[in-house]
Amino acid sequence: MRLYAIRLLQLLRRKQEGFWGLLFPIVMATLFFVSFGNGVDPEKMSAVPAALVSRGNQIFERLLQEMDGAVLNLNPMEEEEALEALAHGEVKGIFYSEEEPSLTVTSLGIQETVLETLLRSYLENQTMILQIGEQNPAGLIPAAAQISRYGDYLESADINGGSMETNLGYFYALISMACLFGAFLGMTCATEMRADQSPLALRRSVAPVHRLSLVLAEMAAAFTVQFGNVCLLLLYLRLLGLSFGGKWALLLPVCALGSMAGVAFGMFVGSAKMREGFKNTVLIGSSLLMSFFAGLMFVNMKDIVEHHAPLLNRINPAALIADAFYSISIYDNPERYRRNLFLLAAITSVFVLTGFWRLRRERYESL
Amino acid sequence: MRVFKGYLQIVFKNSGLLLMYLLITVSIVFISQKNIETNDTSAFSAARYRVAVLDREGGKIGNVLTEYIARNQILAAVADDKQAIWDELFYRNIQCVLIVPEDAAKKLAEGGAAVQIVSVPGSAGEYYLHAKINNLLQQIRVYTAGGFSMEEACEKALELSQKEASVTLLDVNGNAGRRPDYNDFFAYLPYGFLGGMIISMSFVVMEFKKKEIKRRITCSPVSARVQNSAAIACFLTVGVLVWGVCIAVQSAVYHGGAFRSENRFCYLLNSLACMTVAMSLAYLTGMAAGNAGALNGIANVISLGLCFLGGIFVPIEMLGSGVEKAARFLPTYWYSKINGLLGDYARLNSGMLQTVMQGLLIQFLFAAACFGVTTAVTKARQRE
Repeated sequence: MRLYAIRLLQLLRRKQEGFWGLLFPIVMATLFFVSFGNGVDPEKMSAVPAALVSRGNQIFERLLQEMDGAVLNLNPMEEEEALEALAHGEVKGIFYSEEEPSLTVTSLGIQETVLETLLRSYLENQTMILQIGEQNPAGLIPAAAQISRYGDYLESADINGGSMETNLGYFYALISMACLFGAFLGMTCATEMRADQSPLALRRSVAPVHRLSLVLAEMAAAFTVQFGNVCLLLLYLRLLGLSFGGKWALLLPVCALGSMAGVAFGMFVGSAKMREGFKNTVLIGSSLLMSFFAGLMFVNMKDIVEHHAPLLNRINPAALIADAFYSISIYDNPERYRRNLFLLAAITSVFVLTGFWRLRRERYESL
Repeated sequence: MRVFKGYLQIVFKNSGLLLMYLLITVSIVFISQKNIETNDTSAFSAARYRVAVLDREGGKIGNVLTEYIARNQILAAVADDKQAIWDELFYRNIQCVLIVPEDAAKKLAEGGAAVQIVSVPGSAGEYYLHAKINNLLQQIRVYTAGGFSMEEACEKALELSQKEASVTLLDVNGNAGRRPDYNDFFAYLPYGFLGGMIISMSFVVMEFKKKEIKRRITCSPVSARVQNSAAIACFLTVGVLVWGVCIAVQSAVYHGGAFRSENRFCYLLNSLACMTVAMSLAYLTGMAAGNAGALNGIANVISLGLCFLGGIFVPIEMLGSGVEKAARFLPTYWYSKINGLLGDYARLNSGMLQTVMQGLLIQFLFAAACFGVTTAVTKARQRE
C-alpha cells in the first residue's frame, strides 16, 4: 500500500505524463465537438432551389407550384437569367415546362436527383393515364380519381435504437484513444523497473522488496492516474452534451478495463528488451493503428473491419472499447457489451501476465 | 555532410511511423472512393442509394419492390435482425430498409400502410426513397383502379420506372458535374503530411535539443551555421521526398492524376504549401514536446484537429458559420478550399485564381510564422 501511495504521488507530480494524458483527449473532444456539434446536418432534407422557364405546360407548372415550399424553392425566370443562376450555383436545376417537360442541371448530386424525380413522376403519371385510356377506357375515371387520392403506403418501423448520428463514433474512438494513452504511463513504469534502463530502477533492484509487490504497486498507481483521466474526459464530454444513453454505471467498467488495458499494454512493451527509442516507436505506431481501426480518423473503419476481418475487432482493445460504448449508447445490446468486456479483460490479462513474467527475477551481473 | 547524415539517420529510424501515417491516408482515400459509384459522366444519372428489402410476404409486392430497387437503386443484403439493421444504417452502409409484411398486398388494396420503412430520420435520402417507393405503390393502386389485375399493375408500374426523363447535364465547370477521382487523393493528403512529418521530424528536433547532445555539438569544430544548414537541408530533403512520392503515387494510381488537369500547377503548389506547413509544425512540435508520449498526443491533436476543423475530414459546410469563420485562420481550411475549387472547376476564372493565390499565400505565411516563433523561442532558450 505504501509503495502504491508513493508511486501514485510520484506519477501525479510528473506533469508530463498526467497532463498530456488528460489534456490531449480533452482538446480533441473540444475539436470534435466544434466540428460536429453545431447542429449542421449535411444529410438533412431542405428545399431544392430550382428555376422554372415557363413554356406553356400549365399542368406541369401547377405540379411544381404544389411542391414549392418543403421540397422545392421554385423561382420563375427567363431562360438567360436561369442559365446564369445555374452557372453560379444559385439554383440546382432549370425546369422547362414544354409539352414534353425537361430539366437542365450541372452536377449529379442528391438535390439534382430530387428534381429529376419530380419531372419523372409527372411523366410517369402522364404515361399511366395514356396507357389506361388506350387499353381500358372504362377504368380512366377511377384511375384519375385514385391519382388525386395520393396516400401514404409506407409506415416507419421502430427498431428500438438510439441516435443515428454516425459522428458519435468519433467520440467513442477518442475515448478508446484516451484509454490507450495509459500505455505511455505503463511504459514509464516498466522502464523504471528495468535496472539497465534507468537509475531509479537500479536503486529499486537492490531494495528488499518483492518484485511482484513492486509490479503490482506500479500498475495500480498508473491505473489510478489513467482511470482518473478517462473519468474526467467522460465528465467533460457530459458537459458538452453527450449523454451516452444515460447509463453511466455501465460506462465505468469499460473505462476501467480500457485504462487497465492501456497501462498493461505499455508495461508489456516497456518490459521488452529493446532500446527506448524503438519502444516509443512501437507504442506510438501501435496506438495509432489501433485508433485508426477503431474509427478515430475514419469513423466507418471499425464497421469495415467488422465486415472483412472481424477477428481484428476482437483483438483490438480500441475497437472493443468503442464497440462497448456503441452497445451501451447507440443500440442497447447487453450480450455484445459483455462480450467486449470479456475480451478486453482477456487481452489485459495477457499483457499483465507477460509484462510481469518479463519483469520478474531480473538478475544483473553488473550495474 | 556528417551532420546532415546524422539527421537523416534519425529520420530513417522513425520512417516507419511516417509510412504508417501515409498508408492510413491512402487507405482512407481508397475506402471512401470505393463507396462512390462511378457512372458515365457524359449524361445525367440519378444518385443511387443502397436499399435492402426484407420480404416477409414472398408475394407480388415483395417481388415488385425487390425488382424495382434492383433496377433503380442498389439492392443490398441485410440480416432480418434489428441490431444488424441498425448497425448498417448507423454506418450508412445502407440508406433504407423496406420490410414487406405478410399481408402487404391486402393492406395496399385497402389503401393502408403496406410496407414498413427504416431509414435515417429527416435525411434527404429518406425523403427521396420514401417518395420513390410510395410513388411506385400509388402507381400499382392506380393501375388496379383502372381495371388491371394486381400482377399486371405490378408489371406496368415496373415498366414505368424505366421511362427516361429528358435531363440535360450542362458541363459549365468543365468537369461534367463531378470532381475528378485524384481530387479525393489531394483532399486527404494533409492528414498524411501533418501526422507523418510531425511524428518523424519532431523526433529529430527532440533528439538534438537534448542537453548532452547540445553541449557536445556546441564544443565541436562544426560551426552553428553549418549545423543549421544541415538541419534545414534534412527537413527539405525529407519534405520534398515525401511530397514527390505522394505526387508520383497519385499519378500512377489515377493514370496521370493531377498532371491531366489544366490546373496541375495549382494542385502541385497547394500540396507543396501544405507540406511546408507540415514541416514548420514538425519543427515547432519537436521544440515543444518533452517526451514520446507528449509528441504522440501533440501529433494527434494537430493533425486530426487541423483536418477536422479545416474541412479535410468533414465538409466545410458542415462546420457552421461561426466555426467556419474561425477556421479561416487555419492553413488546412485554405488547402481544402483551393482543392474544392480545383475539383469543382476544370477552368478557373480570375476571381477563383485570386482565391487560390490568397490561400497559397496564407499557407506559406502560416508556415513562416510557425518557423519564426520556434526560432525565436529556441534563441531565447539558448541565451538562458
